[in-house]
Amino acid sequence: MSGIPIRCESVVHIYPGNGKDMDNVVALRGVDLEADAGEFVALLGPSGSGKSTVLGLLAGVLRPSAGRVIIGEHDISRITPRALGRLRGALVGTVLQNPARNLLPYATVIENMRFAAEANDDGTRAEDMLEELDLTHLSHRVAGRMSGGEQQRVAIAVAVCGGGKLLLADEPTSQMDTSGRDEVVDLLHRVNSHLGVTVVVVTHDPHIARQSGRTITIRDGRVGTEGRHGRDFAVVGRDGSLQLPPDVREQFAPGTMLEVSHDADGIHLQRWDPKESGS
Amino acid sequence: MLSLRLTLRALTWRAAASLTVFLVALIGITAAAVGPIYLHAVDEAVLAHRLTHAPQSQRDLRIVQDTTIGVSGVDWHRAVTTLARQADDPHWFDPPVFSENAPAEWQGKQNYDTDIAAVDDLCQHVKVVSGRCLSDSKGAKTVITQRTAQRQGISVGDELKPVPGGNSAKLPLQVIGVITPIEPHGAFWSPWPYFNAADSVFSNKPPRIDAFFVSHQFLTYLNMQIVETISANLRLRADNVKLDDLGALRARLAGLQTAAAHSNAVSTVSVPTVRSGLPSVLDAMQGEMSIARTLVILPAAQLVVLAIVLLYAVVAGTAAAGGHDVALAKLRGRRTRSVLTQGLAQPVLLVVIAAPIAGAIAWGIVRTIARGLLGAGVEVVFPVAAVEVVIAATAASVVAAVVAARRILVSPVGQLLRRTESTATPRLGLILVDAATVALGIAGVVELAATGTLDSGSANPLSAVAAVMLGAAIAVLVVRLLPLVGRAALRWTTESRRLAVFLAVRQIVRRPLGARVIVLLGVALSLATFAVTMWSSASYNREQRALEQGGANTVLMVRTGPHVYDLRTAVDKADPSGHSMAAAIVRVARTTPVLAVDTDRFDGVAAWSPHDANVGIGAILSRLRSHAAPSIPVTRSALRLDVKATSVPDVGTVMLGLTLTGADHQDRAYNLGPVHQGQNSFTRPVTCVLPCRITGLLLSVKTGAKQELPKNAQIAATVTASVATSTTATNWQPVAGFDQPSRWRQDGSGVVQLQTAGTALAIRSQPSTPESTWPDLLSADSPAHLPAVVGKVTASLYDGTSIHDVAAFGLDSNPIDLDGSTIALSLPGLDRNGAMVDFGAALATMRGPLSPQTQLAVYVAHSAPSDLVARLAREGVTVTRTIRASTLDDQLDKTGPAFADGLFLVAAILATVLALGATVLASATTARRRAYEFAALETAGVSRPTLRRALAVEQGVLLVLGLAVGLAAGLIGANLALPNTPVFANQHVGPPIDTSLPYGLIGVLTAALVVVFAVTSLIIARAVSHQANATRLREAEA
Repeated sequence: MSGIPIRCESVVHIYPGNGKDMDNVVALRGVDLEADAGEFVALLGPSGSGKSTVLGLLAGVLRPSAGRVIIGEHDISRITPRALGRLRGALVGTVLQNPARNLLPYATVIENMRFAAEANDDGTRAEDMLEELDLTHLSHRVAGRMSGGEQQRVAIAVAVCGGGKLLLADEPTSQMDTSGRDEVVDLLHRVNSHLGVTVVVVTHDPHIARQSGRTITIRDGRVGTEGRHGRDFAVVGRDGSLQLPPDVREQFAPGTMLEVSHDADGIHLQRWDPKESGS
Repeated sequence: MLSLRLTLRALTWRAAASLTVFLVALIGITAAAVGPIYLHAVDEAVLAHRLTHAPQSQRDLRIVQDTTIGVSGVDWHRAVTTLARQADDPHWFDPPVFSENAPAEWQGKQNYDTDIAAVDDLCQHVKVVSGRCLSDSKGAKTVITQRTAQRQGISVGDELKPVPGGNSAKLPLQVIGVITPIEPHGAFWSPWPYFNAADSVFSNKPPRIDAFFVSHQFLTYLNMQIVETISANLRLRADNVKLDDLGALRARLAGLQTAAAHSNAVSTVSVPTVRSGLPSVLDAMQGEMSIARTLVILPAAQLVVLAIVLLYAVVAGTAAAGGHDVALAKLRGRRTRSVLTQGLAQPVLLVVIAAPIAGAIAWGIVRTIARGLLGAGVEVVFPVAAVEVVIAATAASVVAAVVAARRILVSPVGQLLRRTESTATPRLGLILVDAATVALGIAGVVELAATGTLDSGSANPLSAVAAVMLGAAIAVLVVRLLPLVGRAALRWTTESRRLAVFLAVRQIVRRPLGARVIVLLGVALSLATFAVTMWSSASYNREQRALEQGGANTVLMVRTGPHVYDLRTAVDKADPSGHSMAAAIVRVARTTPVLAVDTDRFDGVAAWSPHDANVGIGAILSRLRSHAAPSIPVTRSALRLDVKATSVPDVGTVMLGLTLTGADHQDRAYNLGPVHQGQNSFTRPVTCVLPCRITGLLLSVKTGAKQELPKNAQIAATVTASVATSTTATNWQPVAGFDQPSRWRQDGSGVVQLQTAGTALAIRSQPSTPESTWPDLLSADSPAHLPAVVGKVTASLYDGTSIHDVAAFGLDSNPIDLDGSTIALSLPGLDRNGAMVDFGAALATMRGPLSPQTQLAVYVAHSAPSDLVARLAREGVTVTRTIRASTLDDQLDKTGPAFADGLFLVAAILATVLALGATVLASATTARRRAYEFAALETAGVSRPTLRRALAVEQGVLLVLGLAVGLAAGLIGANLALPNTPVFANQHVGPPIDTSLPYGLIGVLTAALVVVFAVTSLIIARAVSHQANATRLREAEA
């Protein structure tokens, strides 16, 4: 099993209003994002920044208003709903935020696995996957009667069992204690490292962020910064735009004019005050 | 297999939701199936009731042929036996019983009419008193009844010589036995009038004696031509006749009649006829069934529609709850079939499982209610129609489930995962549906009005749904207007300090679809109101009809002792309180039945509806007793008439005749003899039962064969009547009133002038022509035309003038003339055909004893003494039979319309329960969403009691509006269309229909519903607010 690359190009997404008291909401304003096959990426950002929307677009449950979303070799913004469904079944596994919502609560773990793997499985894959992820002991437990941590680990297994090449997890540890969180994070890494699955995790959890090889922070519907091995970098957009880090941005009120210069050491931003310049 | 396993697991996991869907499907399909099963049971009950209560003469099949027997070489029994064999079916009929009878005359103490009769199995149905019974021998032997033997002094061994019809020769028969019939009025003997010994009713007919019985063998080998009637009677096995037999039974009867018509007649043998009242009994029964069908189908259909709507609501709710399964299936990229299975399998499986169980429950329900509504012994089966309806209802339920689940199935996965609902409502479609509903409601009423049905009393099935159509139309208008009213109230609630009302009004304005429960409730309650009104009215009218049919609360058929000549006197003594009344009913075939009533006691005792006549009962009774003059009484044993003739014709002899009528109503005619010019005196002993009345006086001229009266011949005389204790007494007293012209009236043509002359009555009498009869003088205590109230049917036979001269028979079966200028729709005990007169006036017309056609009765009010029968017995009045209005009412309750009326009510109540259930379910299905909102409001600081009150107010407003709409539409519909519903319309019997609305009953039920609704609102409010907590807010995030 191996992962697949993903790519978002200038993706814009607008949630339509109701034409009366709710206006349209622009969730993404031109997101460019890319992850290689088998990469582990954490999407960070404040509430409402658009990170879950990005995940929804990658999962194919949302359609971009503009731009392209490419999963492996498929531009999912241009395929039919039926093909999109098949693509989800074949390539993409999704773990939702609430553990209970990822599973059929009345079915056993193995039945949930088979339910998810129906499109691809000959009946043996579910058992193999459980064994691979050390979850065999849960296989005959009824999902609705398991703890949150168990449910989320099974949800990850179900997601991988169904799709298998891209795992998208939306705040997978949000309602868990530390040990449960660690087990889930551990499982995500095992899926990534052992199975080669590309993993994209939306999280607020700094613990996950620290353990991710790569983090992407979404702010105001754009990719703000990207972190590699503990260091954050601003990302130049396709249109040349650059989002200042929050701590820097606090020093500049909106409308502040900056003089941009560069030399061998890098780019310099200098506040330009018309009074001081004597004009 | 996985899908099935998951479906079954899901069903048990969401047990409450599954149970709800299952129960609603169960109720819906049960409601659908109850209609046809009950209808079939009603039809069977009506059939059984009609057949068992029809007179045997109508039920049985008779094959009759008139012939002349005694002709050698002719098998005169062949046609009848062939047809009887053709008709013989052990399932429907008992084996045929053959009889042949020849009318005959027999000279006993006087000349009598009788029959020479042979009957199959005679000896099994008689008891031999003396001698022996008949054998199959050819001998001229006969057995006679004990009554004949005793009255005629006949013994075993005597020889009788009747003269059979068609032959003048005597037929000698030796009496070998004297018998009495076993159950002479029972099923075996009732087809043949062989025990009908009776005095002569008409003077030109001799009296009858019971038949002389002979053997079939004797008649077969009789060497003498006589006229006789051959008949075969096939007794219907009413219990065996079921609905499915009707077509075949009718065909069998028609086939027999055709076969009979094609029988070859010879000169002495008539064509046999097949007689049966069964077709008309079946026609009447099918008329009842038709009414029942119309009434049962409508509420049953209503129930089905409601149940399907309810099922849709429930499945929509549970589908929403299970929407996440579908979302996961879509998210996992499962195939369309798999997603469909995930969304539909559960409700469809539940509906399919519910169907056969519902059928069984429906059958059980009908079995249970049939005992109460239809009576014990009604067979309840599961007819084919019910199977079809169950299949149709199941299919409709599945479609409802599919439609309800479709919204989930077609929703994008993102929307499902976010648990958001499409805010787009099918506005245009809903507007069209609403417009159609309102238009249909208005069109229905217009149709009823335009076709002239309203107030016409003609049946129109549309009238049974008028209230529902009105209810739907009004409810839709209310639902459409409610948001507008709510918006107008927004400002008021904003300024008000009542936060609960503020929130409730906003919810109503925000969620117009939620107000749709008003339509559901309005329609159900309009039907329920209409049904309660109809049931109450129908029940009341059946009671009234039974009361008028019987005549009073209880009617005692009585026989009077030897010295009871006026039943009124006996009743007055037995019941001084006045709660019972003497009556007499005269029924002479094919003439107007006459009911004589004690007008002083009528009011409050006899059944009388204020709507029976245009005139008040007081005025009617006053008119009935107003015309009679006082009698001319004779209270002593001797009577003397002193006649002073001042003018007599020159030709012929003047004759004086006098008629006295005794207390026993028997006339005694006195031919007093010739009256000569000058003073005459006639003294006679009084031979009538005292006190007598002078009821006739005749002065006439008897002429010889060749004598002719002159043209102006007249008699003038003064007549004085006096009485004494004996003819030889000296103290003669004048007869009171004899001298008063007002006590007399003329009878016959001619001129009679009366005048008082001292203590005498001056008479001047002249015939209209010399050849014609001299006019009589009759006492005016019995007017020439007895004032009468005639029933509507009787009145329809007479025009405006002839209604004053209605021909009828008096209590003694003598013809009387009635003045029927007052018309009533129905008379107590006579229905719509007959005439009612004053008892005293009817007695005054009697010139002989009570005839056999007169039945004396005592009408008894509810408040009469409980020991009245014993009291009457002490007064010499014996009760022979009792008719109770309650018994008649019970019988009317067993008719098709009554059966259907009962189910209409049950169905309407069920529909109301379903609608209320739907309202609760609708609230429950929105409870989850409400819970989020309430949790948010609670977080914002709104107290939980306020939230509960807000929800209670919101629900209460909707429920009360539904109630108001239903009540208004039901009452308006009932007021408009009740007389035209099949239960009431086209009723040609009984008193006028009273369709006044039962406001008291409606008021009580409304109060009960208000309480139920208040409790329901509070329960809903509590349930929803219970779910509203902070954790809901976290769940709502997506």
